[in-house]
Amino acid sequence: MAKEKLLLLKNIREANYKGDLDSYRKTGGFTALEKVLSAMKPEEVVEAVKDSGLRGRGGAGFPTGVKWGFMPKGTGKPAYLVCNADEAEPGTFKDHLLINEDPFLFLEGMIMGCYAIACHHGYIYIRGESIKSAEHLQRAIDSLYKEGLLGKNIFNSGYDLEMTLHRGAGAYICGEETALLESLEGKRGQPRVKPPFPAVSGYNACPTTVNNVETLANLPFIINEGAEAFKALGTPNNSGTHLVSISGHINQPGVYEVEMGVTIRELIDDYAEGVRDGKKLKALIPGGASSNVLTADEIDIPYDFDSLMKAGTMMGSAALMVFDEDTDIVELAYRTIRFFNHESCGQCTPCREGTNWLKHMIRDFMDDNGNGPMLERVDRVAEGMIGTTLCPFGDAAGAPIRIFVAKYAADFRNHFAQ
Amino acid sequence: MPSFFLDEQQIEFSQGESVLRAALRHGRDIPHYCYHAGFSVVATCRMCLVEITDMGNGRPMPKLQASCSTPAAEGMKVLSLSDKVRTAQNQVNEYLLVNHPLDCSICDQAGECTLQDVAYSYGSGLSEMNYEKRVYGWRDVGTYIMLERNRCIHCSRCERFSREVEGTSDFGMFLRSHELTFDTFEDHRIMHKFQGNLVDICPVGAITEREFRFKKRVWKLKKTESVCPSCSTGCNITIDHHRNHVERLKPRENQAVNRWWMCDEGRLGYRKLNARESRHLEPQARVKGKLEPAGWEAVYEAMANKIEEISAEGDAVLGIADTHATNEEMYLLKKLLADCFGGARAYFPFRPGTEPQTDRFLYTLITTDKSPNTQGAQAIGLLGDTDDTRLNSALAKGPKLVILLGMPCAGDKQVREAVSRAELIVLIATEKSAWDDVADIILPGLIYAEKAGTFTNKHRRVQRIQPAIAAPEHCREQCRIFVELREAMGQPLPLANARAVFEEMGGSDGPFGGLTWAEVGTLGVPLNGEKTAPAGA
Amino acid sequence: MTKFDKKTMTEVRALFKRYAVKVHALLPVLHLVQRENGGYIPEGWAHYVAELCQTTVNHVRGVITFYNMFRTEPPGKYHIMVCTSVPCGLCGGDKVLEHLEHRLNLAPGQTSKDGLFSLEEVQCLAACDKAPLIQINAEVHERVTYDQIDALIEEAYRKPA
Repeated sequence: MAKEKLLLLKNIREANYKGDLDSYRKTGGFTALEKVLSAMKPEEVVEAVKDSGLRGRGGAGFPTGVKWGFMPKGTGKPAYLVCNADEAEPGTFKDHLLINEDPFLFLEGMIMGCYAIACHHGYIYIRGESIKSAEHLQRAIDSLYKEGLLGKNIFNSGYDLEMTLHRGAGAYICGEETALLESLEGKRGQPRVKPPFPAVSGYNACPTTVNNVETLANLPFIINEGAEAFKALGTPNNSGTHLVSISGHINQPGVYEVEMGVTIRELIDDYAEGVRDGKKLKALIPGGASSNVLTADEIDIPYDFDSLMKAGTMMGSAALMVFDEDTDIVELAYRTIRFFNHESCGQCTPCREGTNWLKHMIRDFMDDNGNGPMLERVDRVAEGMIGTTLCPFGDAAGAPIRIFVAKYAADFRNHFAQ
Repeated sequence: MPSFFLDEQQIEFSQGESVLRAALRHGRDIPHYCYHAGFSVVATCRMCLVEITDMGNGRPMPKLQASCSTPAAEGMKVLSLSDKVRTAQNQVNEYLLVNHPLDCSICDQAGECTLQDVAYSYGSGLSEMNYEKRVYGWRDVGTYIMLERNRCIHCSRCERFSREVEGTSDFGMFLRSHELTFDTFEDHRIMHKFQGNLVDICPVGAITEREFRFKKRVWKLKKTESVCPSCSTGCNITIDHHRNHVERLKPRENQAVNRWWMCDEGRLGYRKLNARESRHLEPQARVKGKLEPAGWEAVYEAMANKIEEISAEGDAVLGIADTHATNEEMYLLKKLLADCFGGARAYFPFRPGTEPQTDRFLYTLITTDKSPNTQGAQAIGLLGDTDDTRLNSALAKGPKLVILLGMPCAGDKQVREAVSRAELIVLIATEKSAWDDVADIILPGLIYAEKAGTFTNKHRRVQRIQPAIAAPEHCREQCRIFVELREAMGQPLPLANARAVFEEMGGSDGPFGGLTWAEVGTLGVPLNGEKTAPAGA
Repeated sequence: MTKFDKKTMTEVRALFKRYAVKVHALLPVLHLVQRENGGYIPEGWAHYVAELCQTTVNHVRGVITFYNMFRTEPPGKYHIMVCTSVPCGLCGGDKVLEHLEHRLNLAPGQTSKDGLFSLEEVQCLAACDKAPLIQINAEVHERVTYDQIDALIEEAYRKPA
């Protein structure tokens, strides 16, 4: 196996690392937090993160420091930081690894993030199905309170911070930040109209920043080692390491920490030890179910935000799904659209009706009941969802279907009615 | 004022206004379903998509934008008719139709259905959706309305109206994805008094009026702009009628009065407009103690003779008007008494009621004063107080001649008895009442839907009514009755109609001074020099 | 009874303190309702919760019906969730579901007559590297085989209800 660049998984990869507060401390945990609270102004933390070039790891890849910079000051309202731990994109499981095995890493990052944006009550939104992870995380938070690392006057700095774990209840769309805020407010998880953006009107109509678990987990390193050290990793514009979730027909599925710049082929062959059972690769989804599929000929490209964008797909939540030569792309398309149909919030017309219609049509292909005009219709109906909905869900559901049809039309033709 | 360009047309906007709102204000329509100026913007129907080729900073928006949620910006260039926009809107409308039952032929909304209109201008006419559609049954969700969810296009207007405007949240939003549905909680039945508004805001035929179901195709209806007389608010309405039959009353937008709304009680007022049994349909005169039908000319002549015979004036004559009469009628009554009976005076029962104390604008629409013109009577200078003290002391003087306009104090036995002692009692009324037993002469007038005139609402705003339907053959407009009566008495007042009366009022000093018929227009004006309280204040 | 006991009310009050307004605690409160009622929200509780969280019953019902995890029918003592999404479905999740359907004689969404098992087809449990996987109540079982599944079922039958 190729060597990982260990920054976020350094502790986890240690054989005897327990992930409790003591073991985290022994590896130098909370030195960054102490430094921030004793010697840095909030603006300096924001600057450091800006300088590091850290981009959000939740899917959109927006620069974290810039996002914090959007938080208005002097509004007279409280500011909130909400950690998005609603990891629900099919193929993605890296945040859960951090939560389950080294929770204090991202919690330390989150406390610093809260400090940076002058937030005194942070919320962690974890998906509802992850009951065990939520219990585990709650215990971690409780121990921080017990140790005085949360609550009043942390490290005698005069800084107070409350932290609340909020469990969702099963809705993929709550990973979208405004839907997540709605859900945090006890509502149906339906994305909001933007503007206003959360930085202006987020939780309880107050300035709010939403950051992903992995994003926050990078902060201790940036503070301890400096922005330059972080920037030295990866490629320009894609600094630091990334946690890549690899799943599907692969010999060693799992989470791998890599520097940006590694190619997709390397990820599959060198890290995850190749396609399962010596089979050939047929298709690869590089960034979770909402990213466009790549064929076996298209994987010799660097795995980073910009290269994937250029290849007509996206890195999303860095979830690589590998499918071998025996895979029927129609089945893959059907599972994809069924997922999006099930998880659509239903408020926008194209998404509510389009996903359902597409599901019916692709089901027809599954039942060997397809035909040429229907294939064209699949493309047309999917196209109509792209760029026409309130949140990116319509794109996420429509675009992959169009690409499945475009790149694997033969698979669909195999399912034409005889 | 800043401005932007919509398809090359320059459109002014106020700070924070959305592209759609500004466009609509300028008479431009961008098709939309979920947007309604009366409540929050959700931008979910995705029908009002537009292309923004320049955000005002030289850069285009990469994606189409919902114009309802896009704030207008100085110099912005917006396309609402480009191919890209038309294609997207066409596609959105197709999505809406895939699960729609297309039962226009039996749908009350057909003819005033946004979905139907848009489908006609966009659709190919072919359905490519060959799977089973969502099916729900009819639901009896309210005392005034019915719900047909098959037709629902999920615009969420009903849910937002119930939550934001009406306040009970009777309509909820349940389930998600393609199962998303708008409904009431289990078997909860909507009871509030504003259900008709749900029918109005529903862009399709999902919510329909119980009383209007399957009754009339809407394209047959003629709409006459008028004012609801059911209480002193004076909600602006249209009277929707066909072949002299009123089918329904609908609210008409007036931001200074009722915004977009009206109450169900007002709507149900349509029933009375078609009633004939309860009306006086021809002039009557009492002969040997019994009311007998008579011709107009004969009645006028008899009245003029009798008046001459009594030759009463001053306190021996009095008029009583009820507050359903128009400003013009009250004015003519007052003038008749003053001019022809030596300064005799007109009275009215002053029952202003109480303003509802609520922070929900909608609930301020229903007042306890169930007549449209109490403020008018006051402004014109009829004499009235809440316990009728002045009227009773005037009656105590034993008037010989009493003219009743409408059916004032019809339920007050004491007043009736005092009046009955007069030698001549003239009743100008539309409906049968306890006064019929007392009156010597009954002159049948017109109801508000049959005549022109003005009412003065609770905030002292003068608003116009217009004739919508033809009156019964032998009934006459009250203003005309006054003019003809004076003619018969040899003291003519050449005012041809209500408009002429109003112009005369406008020519004098006082609350109506300076107002013109044209100025009152379709939305009304405050009385001279007064500011009416803005809606919701 | 359609009402929280004293102990749970203490938890509810603690929850309310964690949010700007009471209604924001609706999701955690509904989780408590399910915990206290054998995994579902029985009739009448929507009204109670609405009053408790100072909101309307339609809001509560809207939320209950929006989220997958809120149920209005009692689940089995063992609620079995099977992921058949991408990529699990293509890595055996489907066959696992079929096996369970056959073994328990249940279709997804159904609860067995004895109330012991209920089966649910779910979308992604965020452990795609461990496909195929099932979750029984809070417990996740990774890379399950038919034999393991059968063993889990046998064990459940043996345990006193």
